[in-house]
Amino acid sequence: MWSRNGFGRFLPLAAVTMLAVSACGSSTPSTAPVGSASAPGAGASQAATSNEEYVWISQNSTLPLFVARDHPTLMLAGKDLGVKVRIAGPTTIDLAAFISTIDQECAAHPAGVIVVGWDPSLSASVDKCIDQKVPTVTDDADLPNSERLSFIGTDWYQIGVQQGLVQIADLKARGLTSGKVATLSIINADNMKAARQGFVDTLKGSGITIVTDEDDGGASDQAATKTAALLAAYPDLTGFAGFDSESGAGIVTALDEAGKAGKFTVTAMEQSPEFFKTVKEGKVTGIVIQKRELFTYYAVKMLYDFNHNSFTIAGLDKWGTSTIPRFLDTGLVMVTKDNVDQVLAAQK
Amino acid sequence: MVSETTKAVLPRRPNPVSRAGTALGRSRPLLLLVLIVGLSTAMSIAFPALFPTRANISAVLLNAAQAGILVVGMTVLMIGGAFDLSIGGVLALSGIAAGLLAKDSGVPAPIALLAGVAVGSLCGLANGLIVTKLRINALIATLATVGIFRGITQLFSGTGVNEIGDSFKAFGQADFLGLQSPFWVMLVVVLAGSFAVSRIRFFRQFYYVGGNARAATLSGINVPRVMLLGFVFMGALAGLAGVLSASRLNAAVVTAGTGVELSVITATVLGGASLQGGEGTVIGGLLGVVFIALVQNALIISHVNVFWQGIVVGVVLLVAVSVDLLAGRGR
Repeated sequence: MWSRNGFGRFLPLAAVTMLAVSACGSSTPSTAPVGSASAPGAGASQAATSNEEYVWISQNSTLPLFVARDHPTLMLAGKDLGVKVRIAGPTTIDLAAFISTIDQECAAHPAGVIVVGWDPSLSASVDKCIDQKVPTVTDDADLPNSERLSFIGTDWYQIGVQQGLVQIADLKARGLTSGKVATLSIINADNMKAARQGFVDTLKGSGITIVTDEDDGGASDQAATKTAALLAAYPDLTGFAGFDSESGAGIVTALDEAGKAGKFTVTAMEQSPEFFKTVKEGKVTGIVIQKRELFTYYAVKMLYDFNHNSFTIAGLDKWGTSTIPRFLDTGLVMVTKDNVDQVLAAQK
Repeated sequence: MVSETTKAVLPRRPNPVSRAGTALGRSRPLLLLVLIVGLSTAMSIAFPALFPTRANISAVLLNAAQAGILVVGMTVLMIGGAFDLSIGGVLALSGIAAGLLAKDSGVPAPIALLAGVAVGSLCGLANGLIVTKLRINALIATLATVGIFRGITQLFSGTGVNEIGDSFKAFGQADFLGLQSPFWVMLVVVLAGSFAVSRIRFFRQFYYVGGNARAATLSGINVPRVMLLGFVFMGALAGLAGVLSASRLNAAVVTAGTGVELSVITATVLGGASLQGGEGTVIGGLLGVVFIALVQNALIISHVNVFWQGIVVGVVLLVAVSVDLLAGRGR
C-alpha cells in the first residue's frame, strides 16, 4: 500500500520523528523551567547559588489544577529562594515515562527533586535518587515505603474522612436515616485509595452504604458518563463522592443533564475557581481545597533547607538523620454553603 | 433410489442455524446488530426497572455521540488504508479555540463553534500534507502531530476555559425528544457519512485506494488528493466533536479526548473495517461504538466491580471479533 511504501522509504525520517516525539510528545517527559531568580534566599541560613536547580516531577504534569496552582507556586518558591525550579514528567498518565523521568533527572544530580507520589512503584526510583545523594521529597501524594526525605501535603485519608463527614451531616439535614453513595476517582492511584479508605471508615455505622467505586480516569467527560449510568443503575442513590479534580465537574454535568442537580449530596475536590459556584448553586455540598500552594511551596523550601541548614542532629550525618521533618501535613479546607461566599470573594 | 456413492457427492443443504451463522459471519454489522439487540433484550429482562429507561438509554446514546462522530471520519480513512492517532489532540485544540473565541474575544457562539471546526480541519490538512506530500507513514505522522496539537492547546490555555457562556452551552445542551443535541448531530453525521461512502463517487474512491493504491493510481484516481481530503474530513469531524463536547460541558478541557483515538479505532475495526484498508462501513463503525457503550453501561447496571469491567469489555470485544473469523473457517 502507498502508505507502507512511504514508511519504508522514509524510515530514517520516521525514526527521527519518533525521537522528536519521545522528547516532547504527550506520553513522554516534558521539561520546562518555571522559576529562576537571583534574589537572596528568604529566611535561609545560607545564600543559594543561582545555579542551584530543583526539579518537580509528576505524570499528567499539565493537569489544569497543576497548571493553575502548583506551577505558579513553584515559580514563586524559586524566586523567593533564589534558585531555579523546573517542571518535568509526562503530560499524560504514563507511569513508565514518569519512572524514566525520575531516573534521568536524578542521574543529572540536581539540587533536589520533588516527586508527586502517584503510585507505589515509584518508590524504587525515589530510593535510587537517595542512593545517589539527590535530596528527594514527595508532595501531594506520598510514597511512605520509599526512602524519601519528607512528604509534604494533605493527608489523603483525611480527605476521605472530611467528605464522609459532609455526606453524613447532609443526610441528617435532609431528614434521612440511611443513604447510598457512589464514588468516582482514578481508581488505582494510591492517594485516592487512601481517600476512599478514609471515606469507608468514616461512613461505618452512619447508615450510608457505598454501592460502588467507579473509575473516571481523571476526565470530566468520563465522570459524566459514569454518573449517568450510575443514576440508572442505582435509583435509590443519595450521594456522590469524587476524589480527583475532574470528578466533581463530571458529576455536576450529568446531574444537570438528568435534571437532578441539587437532589443529591455531592462532595468533590477543587477544580477551577468557577467550580466553587456549584456550592452556592446548591449542586455540590462540599468541595475540598487541598492548600496546594502551601505544600508546593514548602516542598521546594524543605529541599532548600535540607541543602542549607547549618545544623545537624547530634552531629550525625544528615543523610542518615535528616534535618527536615519526615512528614508535613498541610491540612485542608472544606468549602460548604457556610463559607462559600468567602471563597468566591477571594477568587475575584 | 440414490446409491451411497451418489449421496456422498451431493452438496449438503445447510440447516437454518448453520445458514444464519454463515450470514452473521459474513456481515460484521449484522453480527453487531444481533449482539446489540441480544444484549439489550437480556438486560431489559434482567433489569426491567433499570436498563430500559428513557434516562438510561439517553445516557448511553449521549455517551456514544462523540465516538459516533469520530468513527465516521476514521472509517473513511481506514477504508483508504490509513488512520489518525491525533484526533484526541485535534478535539481538545478545537474545543479550546472555540471556547477562547467565545469567552475571551466575545465572538458570537455560532461563529466560535464554526471556527473550532475550522481549526480541526486545518489540523487535518496539516496531517494530510505530512502524509501525502512528505510521504510519512500516517501512524508516525499523527503520533507526532498529536503531541504538537496538545502542546499548542496547553500553550494557549494551560488550564482550559471554564464557564464559557450561556449562548455557547445552548448548542451542546439543547434537548430534542429527550435526547441531547450531540446525539442528533452524530445521527446526521452518520447518515450523511453512510450515504457518502456508499453513493458518492469521491468517497467510493477510498475503497479503491485502500484495496490497491497502485491500481487506483493507474485507473486515474489522484490517490494523494483523495487521502489529503480524507484527513481534512477527519480533522473537521474531530473539530466538531471537540466543540460539541466543550459546549455540552460549558468548559473546554485541555485533557479532552485523551485516549479517544484507540477506542474509536477499536470501534471501527469492530464494525468491520480492516487495518489493511479497502473494507468497512460507516454503519458498522457506529454499531461498534454503540455496542461498546452498551457493554460499558450494562456492566455498571449489573453492578460489576470496576476492576472486572476492563477484563469483561476486553473479552467481549475479542469474542465479537472472533465470531466471524470462526464462521469464516467453518465455511
